[in-house]
Amino acid sequence: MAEATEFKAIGTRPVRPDGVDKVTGRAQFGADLNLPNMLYGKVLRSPHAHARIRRIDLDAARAMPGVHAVVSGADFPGAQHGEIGGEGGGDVADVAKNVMARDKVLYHGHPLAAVAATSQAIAEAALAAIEVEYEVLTPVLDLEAAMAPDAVLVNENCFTKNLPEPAEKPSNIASVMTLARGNVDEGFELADVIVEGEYRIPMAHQGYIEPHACTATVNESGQATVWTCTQGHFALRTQTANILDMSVADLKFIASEIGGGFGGKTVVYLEPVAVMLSTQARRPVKMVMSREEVFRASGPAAGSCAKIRVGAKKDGTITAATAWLAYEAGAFEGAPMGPGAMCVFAPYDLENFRVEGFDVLVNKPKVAAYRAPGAPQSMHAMESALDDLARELNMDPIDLRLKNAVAEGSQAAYGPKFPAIGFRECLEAAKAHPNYQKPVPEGAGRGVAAGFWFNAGMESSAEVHINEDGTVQIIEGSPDIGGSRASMALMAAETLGVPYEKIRVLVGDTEASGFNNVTGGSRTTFATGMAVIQACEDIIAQCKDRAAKTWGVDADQVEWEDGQAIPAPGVNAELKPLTLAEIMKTAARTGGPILGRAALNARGPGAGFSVNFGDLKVDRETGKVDVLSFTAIQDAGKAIHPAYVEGQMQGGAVQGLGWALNEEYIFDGNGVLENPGFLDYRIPVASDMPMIDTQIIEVPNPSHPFGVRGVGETPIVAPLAVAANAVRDAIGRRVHDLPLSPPNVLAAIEEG
Amino acid sequence: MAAHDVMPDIELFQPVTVEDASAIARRLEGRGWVLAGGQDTYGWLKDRAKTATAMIDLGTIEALSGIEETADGVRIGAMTTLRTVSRDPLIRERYALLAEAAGKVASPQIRNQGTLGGNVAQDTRCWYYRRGLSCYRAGGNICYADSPEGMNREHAILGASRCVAVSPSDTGTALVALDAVMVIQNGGSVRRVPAAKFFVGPAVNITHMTVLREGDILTAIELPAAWAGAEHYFEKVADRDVWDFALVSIAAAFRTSGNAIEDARLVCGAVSCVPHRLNAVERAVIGRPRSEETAESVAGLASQGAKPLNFNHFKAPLMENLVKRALRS
Repeated sequence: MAEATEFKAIGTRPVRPDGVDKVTGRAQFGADLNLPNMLYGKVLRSPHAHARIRRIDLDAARAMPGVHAVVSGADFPGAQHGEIGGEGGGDVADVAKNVMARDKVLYHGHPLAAVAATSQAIAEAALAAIEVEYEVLTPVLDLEAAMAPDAVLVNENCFTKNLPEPAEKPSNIASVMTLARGNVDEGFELADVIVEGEYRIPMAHQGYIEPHACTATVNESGQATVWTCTQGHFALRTQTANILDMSVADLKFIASEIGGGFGGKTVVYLEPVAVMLSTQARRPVKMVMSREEVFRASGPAAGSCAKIRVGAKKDGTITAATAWLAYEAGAFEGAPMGPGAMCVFAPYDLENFRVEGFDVLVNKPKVAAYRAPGAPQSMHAMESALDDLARELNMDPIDLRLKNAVAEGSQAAYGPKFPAIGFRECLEAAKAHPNYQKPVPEGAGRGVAAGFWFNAGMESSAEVHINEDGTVQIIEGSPDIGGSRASMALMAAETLGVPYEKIRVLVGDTEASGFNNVTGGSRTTFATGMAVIQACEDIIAQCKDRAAKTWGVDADQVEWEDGQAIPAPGVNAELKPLTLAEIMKTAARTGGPILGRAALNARGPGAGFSVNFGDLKVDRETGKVDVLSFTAIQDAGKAIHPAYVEGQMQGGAVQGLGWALNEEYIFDGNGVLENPGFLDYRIPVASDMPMIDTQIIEVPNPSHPFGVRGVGETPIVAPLAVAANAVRDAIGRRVHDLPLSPPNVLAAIEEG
Repeated sequence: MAAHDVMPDIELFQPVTVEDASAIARRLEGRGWVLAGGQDTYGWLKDRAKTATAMIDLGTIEALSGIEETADGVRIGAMTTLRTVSRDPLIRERYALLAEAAGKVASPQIRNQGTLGGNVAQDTRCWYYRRGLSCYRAGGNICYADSPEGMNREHAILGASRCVAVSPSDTGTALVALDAVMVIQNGGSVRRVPAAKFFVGPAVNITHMTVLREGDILTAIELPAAWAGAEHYFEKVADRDVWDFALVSIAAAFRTSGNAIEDARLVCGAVSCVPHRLNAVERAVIGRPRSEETAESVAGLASQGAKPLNFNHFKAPLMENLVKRALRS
C-alpha cells in the first residue's frame, strides 16, 4: 500500500460532480418525473393500530369517473419467503404484507388498498369511497406488554426463533440471540465496583427530506420500468419481483437522485403498488408519500430497552459485563437486535460477558435501517454505564476506555479477531484534543462516549470506459447519497493517473450497470470503490497491451505512470510515453474500444471506531439542554475526500444529538403517532447546533488498496451517550431514558 | 385513513376595505375563512380538518398594516407582520415585552409572513382536534386528549372544561399582560375588547378560542400608555429553540416605585385554553421588591389549582420556575 504522502488525487477536496445540479435545482429527484398520460396513485391506510379486515369493498371507488385502477391485498400474489438483504432485516413475505395488508392491519397507517386516478383529488376521493369493515383488536404498544407471557399476539403464527428448544406456542418475541464468553458470575465476583442501569429509547425517524416517491409504467408485454428514489435500485427490483411474482428481467429500476435515506430507503413501500396499479390501468402511475405517510408508515429506527451491568477492578479493568437488549421490530420481525447485540461490547476487550437480544413485534410501523442500525440504542446504554463506572472509580472516562480498548489482534465480542483498527488512536487523539483540555463552561457538563460499526462489503460492479479523447466514464450502480461519485472519481484518478476533472461517473440503472447491492452498511466507497479501482487496473493492463502493440514490444516491457504508458527500464529509451488520449487515437488499430470492468464481493470492510465528546448546558429551571460544543473523532482508514468524511461525521453527530435531545415517536394509547410532521417531530435545526468539530484519524484498512474504511454510520452511534453523560455531569443525576427533552430533564431534576 | 396532500378547490376573495371583508364573511357564513398571514391556514385545509370553501384574504387591505402612536399609546394594525412588531423601534422602546414575544414566534421565515392578528386568532395545536376528530371542540362529545389512551404532554393543566386544549399564541400572553385592547369591526360597527376577554376558555365557548364571530374582523391592537416602558420579563420554554410552540411561556410586566412593585401582570402561555393570568401571584407581589426572596415566596401560588394530566406534570414546576425568573430583578 502506498504511503499517504504519495497520493495525488486522494485526500483532495474537489467539488462533487452532482453538486451544481443539486444546488441549482436541475437534479431530478423521485417526485420530479412526469410522463404523458400519467395517473396519480394513492394508498388507503388503516385507521387502527391492530384490526382484522372483515370486508373490503372497492366497487364504489372503481365506479368513479377518473379512477383507472383499484387494488387491495387480494390482488397481490403470495410472496416467497427470503431475506430482504441490504441493511434491513426481515423476510420478503413480510415486506409484501407491509406493502399491502392481507387479513390483518398491524399498525396505524398500514396500507390496505390503493387507487390510481387522473388527479390527486380524484384519487383521494376514491380512497374515501372504499368501504372497509374492521374487527378492532387490542394493540400491543410497548416491549413490556409485548413480552408478557399472556400478551395479545401481533402475529398468531410467530414462533420465537433461536430458542434452545423449538417454541411450542406463538409469541411476540420473533427471535432471540445470545453472545457469551467466559463466566460472568466469576467475573462480577472479581469486581471492586459494579454499575447497572436500564435505558429506554423511543422510535425515531431517519428524517430524510425527500419523501418516498416513484413512477411506474408497465408495457403491453408486462415489462415494467420504475423510477424511484432509493439507496438500492437492484435490491428494490429483487423485492418487487418477489412480491409480484415477476421475473427480474421484466423489471427495470432507475434510481433518481436521492434526498437522503440514512438506511430508510432500502426497502419497497410504493414500488410494487405502483407496478400493480400501472398493470391494471395500462398507464404510468406516479406515487408520492406525504410527510405524514412517511412518518406513519415508512420504517423508523427501533425503540429499545437495554439493561446493562458492568463490573470492574479499582484500576478500571472490566471483569464482567452483561447486556439485555430488547428492540421493537414494529409489525413484522427484523429489528436490528443482532447488530445491536454484536456492537454493544465491541470496543472492549472483555474476558467475561453475556449479551441477550430480543426482536419483538409491536403494533407500530415495521422498522427499517437507520445509520448503524441497532448500535446507537445498545451502545448508548453501555457508554452511559461506563461513564457511571468512571465516576465510581474516579477515573477519566477516556482512561477507563483506554484501559479496556480493543486493538489489533483482540478477539471482538462478536467473534473475529480485529485486524488493524484505530480505536486507541481515537481515544488518544480525544485526550490530547484542545477542546478536551479546555475547562467545562459554567452550568454545562461534559460527556464522552465511543462509537463502533462493523461496516459492510458486499457485491459491487463497475465498468470504466475510455472515451475517444482519453477522458473517462465510470458506470457503477450504487446510488450516491453521500458524495460517492466524487470518491469513485478520486480513486479512479489516483489509479489511472488522470485528473479528476476528466472523469465522469454514472450511477447506472439496472440495465446499464452490473449488480450493486444497496448503498448501505457504509460500503459504497469501500466496495464499489474497490470495483472501480479494479476496473481501472483492468484499463491499465489493456493500455499497456495497446502501447506494447504500438511500440512493437511485449506487454511486460510497458509500465504505467502518471496516466501514461512508458517503456520499462531497459527497454528502448527512445519511445515517447503514450497518454490515454494518444492510446485512444490509435485504439481502432490496436484492438478497438477500451473498456475495463470488475465485479466482486468485497471482503474485509474494516471496523469503524469513533470517540466523541461534547459540552452541554442544562437549564436547571426549565430542563432545556443546549449543545455548546461537540467534537467528533473517527478512524476513516483513509479519507478519500476528507470534506465528505467530515460531512458524514457532522451529519451523524447532529442526527445522534437530535435523537438524544428531542426526536421521538410520540404514540398515544391507541397506537396512533401524534407527531407525524417536522413541526412536532423535532429534528434539530441549524440554530440548535454548534459547529461540529471533526478530526479524522487514518489507520489504513489492510483489506483496501487505499486503506478505506466505511465512515457513514459510526458517526451516529456515540452522540446519544455523549449527550446523556454530559447531562449527568451537569445535573448530578443520570437520566436513563431518551429523549433529554425539557419535560423529561425537568422531571428528573424535580425528582432529585 | 386517507392521507391528503393537496388543497381543496377554494374560492378566493381579496377585498380592499374592512367593510367589504366583513360583508363577504357574513354572506359566506360558515364556509368562509378569514386569511391573515396564511401560516396556519393551509395545513387545516389540506388535511380537510376544516371545511372552508372560500378564503377572504385580508392582505389586500392596506389600512390593516402599520404601527402608529395614538393619544393613549400605540396602535398596531392586525396585519402587521410579527417581524415588524418584533423590530419596530417604538414597540421595542415602550413595549419591549411584546417585541420579545413576537420575536419568539416560530421561525424567522414564519415571522416574515405571519401577522400579529393571525397569531392571536390562530386555533389550538391539540393534535386530536387537528386530526379532524369529532371532539368537544369540533362539536362532538368526547375529549381524546383527556382519555386513558390520550397523549397529552402539551395540553392544559388549568382552566380546562371537558376540552384540555391550550392557547398556542406567544403574543397573546404579552398582550394580556399589557392590558391591550383588541379592535374588532363588523360591518360598520366597531367594538373594543380587552385582550383578557378576547380569549375565551371552553367553559365559556368550547368551539371558539376567541370572541371573533362571523363578520368580525380584528383590525388593530391598542397598547395603553399605562404600561409603556414598564419593567418586563418574557420567556418561552419549548422543546426546540425555534420553530416550535411553547411548553410553557411567561409574559410579565411590572410598574415599580422605588424598589417596590406597585402593579404587576404575570401571564402564562400553553397551560390553559387562554393566556393564563396569575392573579394570586400578582396580588402577592404588590409592595415587594423584585428579588430572589419574593420569587421564592410567591412562586408556589403560580400553579395553584393545577390539574395535570397523565403526561404533563412537568408544567406545574415549570410555571413556578418561570415565575421565579420573572420576579428576580
